[in-house]
Amino acid sequence: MRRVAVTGLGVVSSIGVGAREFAAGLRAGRSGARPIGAFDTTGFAHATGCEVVGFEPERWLTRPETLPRAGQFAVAAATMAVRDAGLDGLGDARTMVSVGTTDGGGDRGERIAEAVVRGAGVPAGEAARVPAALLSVGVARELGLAGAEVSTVATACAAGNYAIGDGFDAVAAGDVDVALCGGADAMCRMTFTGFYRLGAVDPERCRPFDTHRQGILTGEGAGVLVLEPLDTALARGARIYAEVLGYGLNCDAGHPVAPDRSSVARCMRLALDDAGVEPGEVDLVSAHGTGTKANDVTECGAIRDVFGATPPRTVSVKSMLGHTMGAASALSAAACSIALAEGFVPPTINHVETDPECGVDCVPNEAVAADLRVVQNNALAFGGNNSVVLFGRAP
Amino acid sequence: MIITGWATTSPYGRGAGAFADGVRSGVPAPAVRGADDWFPEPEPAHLVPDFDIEDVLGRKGTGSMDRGTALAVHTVGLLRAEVGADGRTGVVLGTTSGSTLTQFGFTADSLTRRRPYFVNPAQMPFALMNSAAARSAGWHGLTGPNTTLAAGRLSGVAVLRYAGRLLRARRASGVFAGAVEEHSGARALLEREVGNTARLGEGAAVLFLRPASNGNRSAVAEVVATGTRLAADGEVRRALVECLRQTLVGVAPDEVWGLAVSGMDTMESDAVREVLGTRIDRVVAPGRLVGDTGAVGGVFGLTGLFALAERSDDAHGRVAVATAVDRDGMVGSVVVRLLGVRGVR
Repeated sequence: MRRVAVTGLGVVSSIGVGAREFAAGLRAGRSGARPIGAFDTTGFAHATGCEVVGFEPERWLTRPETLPRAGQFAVAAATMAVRDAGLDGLGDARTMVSVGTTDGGGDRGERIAEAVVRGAGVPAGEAARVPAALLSVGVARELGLAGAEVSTVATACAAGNYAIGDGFDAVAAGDVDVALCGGADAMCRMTFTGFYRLGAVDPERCRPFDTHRQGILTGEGAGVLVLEPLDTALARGARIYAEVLGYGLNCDAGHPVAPDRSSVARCMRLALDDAGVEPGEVDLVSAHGTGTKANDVTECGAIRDVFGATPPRTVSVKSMLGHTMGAASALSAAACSIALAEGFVPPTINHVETDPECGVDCVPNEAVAADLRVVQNNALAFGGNNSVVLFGRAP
Repeated sequence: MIITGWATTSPYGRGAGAFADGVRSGVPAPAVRGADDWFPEPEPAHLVPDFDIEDVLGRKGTGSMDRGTALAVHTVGLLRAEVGADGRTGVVLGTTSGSTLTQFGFTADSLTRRRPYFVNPAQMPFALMNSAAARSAGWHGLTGPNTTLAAGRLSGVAVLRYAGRLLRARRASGVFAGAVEEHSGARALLEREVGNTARLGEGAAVLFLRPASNGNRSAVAEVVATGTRLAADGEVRRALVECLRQTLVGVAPDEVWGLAVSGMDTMESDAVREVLGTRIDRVVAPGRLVGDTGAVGGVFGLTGLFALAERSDDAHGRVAVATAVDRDGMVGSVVVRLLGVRGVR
């Protein structure tokens, strides 16, 4: 098996576009929260989210009108990632494109449903932009990768890690030479409304692990990682952000929406075993950390089950980015890669008082310098779809 | 990777037997005329008959369940009883967009009720694309990798390729791999909007996959190759020819026993003829039998070939090919070697 390096990052997020701006945002503890403008929020008592503002799809796409917003994000992030990796196009390289998503083109579906409900005609061209497959196919088309292995992984809010895991296996086994993998999602009414109805949307800010947390903020964006064999990366003198050490996947096979502590712990152990890493070697956990009452307590409990009473620092970048659904674990993976490369821990912002039931050092509000060797990236999804990826410092 | 069993829930009825009989008869499954709020103009569609969710799965956990999830849960269950599943058995299912009906209904509730948040939160997990795979795992206690691929008509190729990698990397001991598509006016609306005039259908088809190295060669088929290609220039047939050239490497033309195609026209079989230099006479076109079943069409093609092969004297050891074409320009092919075992169904 070949070792696998992360050599490029592409990011579209509410706290910065591009790896450099994103890193600056993480270091500064920037917040992406603002009033939601993506859909009509009349009738909701509060509507704060983490939108990407000022995104110009024409900068990245020749035909932006053929893709849903999430697809535009995916193409932009993939294009940035390839450039960031210093790859002059991908030429004949055997390539994989794998994009995770929760909603795909669901925001376009909402426009159609709304038109029908209002008795209006279906807006022209919208139906063609609904299928989620377009997220990865759009990347392949825009980057001229006719022979690429293309997949859109629709494993809800853990999808980014699923895509990265598949890319890791494909590169490690020699199936492909380069994998562009991550996740993308656009703000949509359905997700916001569903979480709002569950009482799981914070009115103002996302504050994971805090005693007074009130839930998620919905967000949007995309994160794409370039994975390639470590040997190839070293040989071409590429900048190496991190090494992918391994990952784990499992399914709670239980409750439709509530995470299962023992199953989440089992997924972390699967990832640690796969990476050949002892729990004591992990320096940082980038948690799923949604900021809901239930998630944070359950996830922190699982972390203590695996790591003992004094777990590694456990942060949530969702405090800055909101919950970007299928992009969430991809953006978190990009953050892990940057943290390893630049030697700092991104903070959990909006933090006042740590919930004793969470009981983790969440690195409140301000980034800290740290000599990181191994970082763990957690992702949990509705349906009990767990995925955990382990990253190591570049050798 | 070998396929040791398969199950279907199709417009021919529940279970592989009904599907196999239907495909062998060559007579299209019955179509019924229906309409709903999303597509008020009644049109015939090939629905799975006698599939009332509560009747089939019981009342517990089904109150807000979408039809696609129910079809998948039921179909995995048909196989689950027969194959050996363990704690690392996974589920990999393909879809187009999940349950469009549930997504549209949820949105409509938000837009039309007295408050925009007066929606049914129990519907939310069923509005997500991972619902069919996740609920199938929950229903049948399958705690291994659980993945949903939104690959549209290429779902058959996509799930086999992905599951094959899971098995090779030893992340799963076995995988229930397949696809599901539910019929609804909401889906009809989207398909008609993009110019699809085919009669629509629905169903679920699931294969059970194991590593070939298990020592157990008793199987329906071995997966020889999978491949996809993007017709970036719009030249779909040329892309399919290139894809087939790769997946059919080392296969002699007279080894090919049968072909399954995703479309209604002859483009796919013409592409196969161009690559092999000879026409394959035995062609399964699920679209002609059970309608355009979207994501599940490719898997129905494979199971249709298996159904024909198990009653044939000359299929054993030979090769079957399934091709797929999607509107987005993706084309794909799967090549399997038929091993002559009837398989678990």
